[in-house]
Amino acid sequence: MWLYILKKLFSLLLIILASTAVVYFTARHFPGDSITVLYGETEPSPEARAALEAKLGLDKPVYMQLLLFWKRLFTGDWGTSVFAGEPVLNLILRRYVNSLILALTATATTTALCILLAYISTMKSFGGASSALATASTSMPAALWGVVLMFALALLRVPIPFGSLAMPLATLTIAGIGVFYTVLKNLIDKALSEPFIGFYKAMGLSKARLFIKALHYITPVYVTAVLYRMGLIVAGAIATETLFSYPGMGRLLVEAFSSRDYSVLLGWATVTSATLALLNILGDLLHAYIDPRTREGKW
Amino acid sequence: MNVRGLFLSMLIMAFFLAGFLVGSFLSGREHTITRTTPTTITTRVTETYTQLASTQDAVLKVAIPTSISTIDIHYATGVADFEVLGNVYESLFRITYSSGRLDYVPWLVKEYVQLNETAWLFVLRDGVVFHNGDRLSAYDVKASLERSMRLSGIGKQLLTDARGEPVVVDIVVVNDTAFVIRLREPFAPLIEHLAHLSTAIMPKSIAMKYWNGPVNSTQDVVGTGPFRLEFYEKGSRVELRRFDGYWGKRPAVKNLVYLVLPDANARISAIISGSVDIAVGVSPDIVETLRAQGVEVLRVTGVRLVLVAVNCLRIPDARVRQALNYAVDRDALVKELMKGYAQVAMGVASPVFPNAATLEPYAYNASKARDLLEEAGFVGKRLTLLVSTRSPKDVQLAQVIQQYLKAVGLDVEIVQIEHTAFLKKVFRDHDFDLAIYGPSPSSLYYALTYWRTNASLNGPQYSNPTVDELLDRIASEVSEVRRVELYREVQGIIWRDAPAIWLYFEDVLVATRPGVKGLQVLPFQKLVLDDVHVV
Repeated sequence: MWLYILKKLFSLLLIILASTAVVYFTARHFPGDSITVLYGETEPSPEARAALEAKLGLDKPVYMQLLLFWKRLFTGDWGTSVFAGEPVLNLILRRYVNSLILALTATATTTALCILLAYISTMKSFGGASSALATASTSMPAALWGVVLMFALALLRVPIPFGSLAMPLATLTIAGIGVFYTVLKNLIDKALSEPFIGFYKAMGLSKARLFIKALHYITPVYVTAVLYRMGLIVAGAIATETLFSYPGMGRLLVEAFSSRDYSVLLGWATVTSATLALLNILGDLLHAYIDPRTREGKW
Repeated sequence: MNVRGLFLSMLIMAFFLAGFLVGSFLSGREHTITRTTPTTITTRVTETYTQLASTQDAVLKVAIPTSISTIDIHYATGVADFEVLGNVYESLFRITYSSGRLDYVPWLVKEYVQLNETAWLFVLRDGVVFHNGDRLSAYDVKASLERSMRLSGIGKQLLTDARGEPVVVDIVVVNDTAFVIRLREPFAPLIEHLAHLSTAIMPKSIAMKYWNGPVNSTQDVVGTGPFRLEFYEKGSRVELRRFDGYWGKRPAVKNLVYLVLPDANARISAIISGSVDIAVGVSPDIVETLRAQGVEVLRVTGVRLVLVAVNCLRIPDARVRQALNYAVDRDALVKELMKGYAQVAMGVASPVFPNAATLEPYAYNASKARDLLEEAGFVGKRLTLLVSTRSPKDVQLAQVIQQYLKAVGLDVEIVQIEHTAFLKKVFRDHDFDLAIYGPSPSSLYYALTYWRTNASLNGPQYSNPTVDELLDRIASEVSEVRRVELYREVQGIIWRDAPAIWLYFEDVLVATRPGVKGLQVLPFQKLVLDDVHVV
């Protein structure tokens, strides 16, 4: 098992190096750099430009800049953004925590509501209402749900808590229910027709307990799906964050790209790719923990 | 795996969440409760009372469409930068606006006198204190102005002449409160240009610390303004707090929060729901809707001249450029696209500037345009029209322009491009045929220097030696009467040479909740919050 984790961590390192390289070369390929952004329509004097280029390391060849960043990455000095007025590491950590909170809470609420809906529709056998809800949820993308929620509050004259967790959380939960309810419901229906459930039924287990058995049985698959979405939210729910001015990784990416803030952009790529890869590992471990069958051969 | 454990943990999570949600809602409520003071004012006594109450702890929330791009006033270029940092920093002079005209009044300066043609003596106001507690001295002014000329793109443009040489030779500190600015040659617009926030004053220690690059710590955002920067989350919000040592009138607002809401719908919802008190960057399309919802919309003629720059190196024939001007119906544009919230351009600088000339308009005349194009042998040419995706209105405008030019036989391809790349393509590489943008100058002279040969803001690379020479003569002309004549002459030449399709001056539209009183709006899309109070 430890060997497995070690191998995965090594690939994680490669992923970080590759993704920062891709992000950096792409960003540098776009016309304009940090100095263009700083000066807008005006032009810096040659000496001001030279001083800035030296300060930002833009005077060196692009591959050297990347190598230098990699060096700084592992020494913990991620530099200071010329735009943000604070060290890049602080900035990214704060945004990362915000996004992580959003991802965790949104996943928790979505999952809790989905299980509740699936339970109701299985137990009470009126799946109509639940699937209608799910269809409504999938009928619009998250960004649009956000606008709908916002307009609803505006018309009710309820102050919209811009910048706080509540609105993005509500939006992502509503938009998430549709897909995850459908996934969960299908998995459970399929599980309920498995022979082992029939056996439990013969043992005289109640319907509720059968539901729980089925839920347990499908957990590994469901967790994999949920972790994937969680990773995406951590990387940045751009539209939702922008709409409600929530300071997460998505806003960070947009701002860093539009202002050509390379050190922040590289930091974003590092943290995001690491998170996605770690969630992947976590998914595997969880899967193996929950479902012993998958352990064989792997470890 | 313990199924019961799974459920239990999920239940705990749900409880935790519910608590969090309720908590965040309650804290949101609290803000509104403290802000809403009684509105039923019957006597003068209660009025003063409410004003006093709001003086103590009023929070003013302002929604802005774009984030500030820098915390260094000398690097400020965007409207948002000046809006936010303009509360923190002050310049030697200040721009005021009343009854349709701009004026430049002494601000950090108490009095000033012109010693001779090239030397001005300034005396600083007493009792001005920086946010860090230091007293404002002439040494701070010297360091700040030198840093501005050295680093600030706009500062450089404001204080250099046609040959790119600084107009200021030296700043001589006489004593703590007096200094002399020595000029290389007479420079008439000096006072106007010292009113620009790009020449704002910061402590000498900070100017020296960041001599080669932008301020990169919020701790070092130190000015003399009525508010100090307290918290800055790029792309999300900026929080300012009243500076109690401010020398001037104490603002009624204690906490000033700028909320970055790039989405137009979000800004509308924010102002309708009362989440913010003021929203800037209101689209003309929704003014009626907002008014119907009980939101007040202030309107001021703006300085932003929306134009389609015509690359003069690729289209050197002035007849073609004039033809492009005749091909577009500005009245229709203002009426339809801008819903009437703009002024058709009758000159190259906004009518709010003293001495801005009203010139003979390019009346819409498609057949004249076609004739001119034919004369110049330009019919059927293919042109690219570059537009930044930052403003949806610009993209709409591009489509309308495309139709107008198609009607006179020109094939226009619209190229939408992200804003930073747009800046590079237009102002550095000059790689375009036509490009939509809108300069927002702070003075008439500054507006005209855009059209100087090789000026950095001269996107279309327009060059006319007569214009350059006239601008120099204006700067050094001592006689006011003569200067006005020269101003008129140079504006006429640029107008007729048409390095751009002159379109309209956008009105500045600002939405406020009914309880917000005393707000003033400058034509630069800048709010004046001196007298703002929330009732």
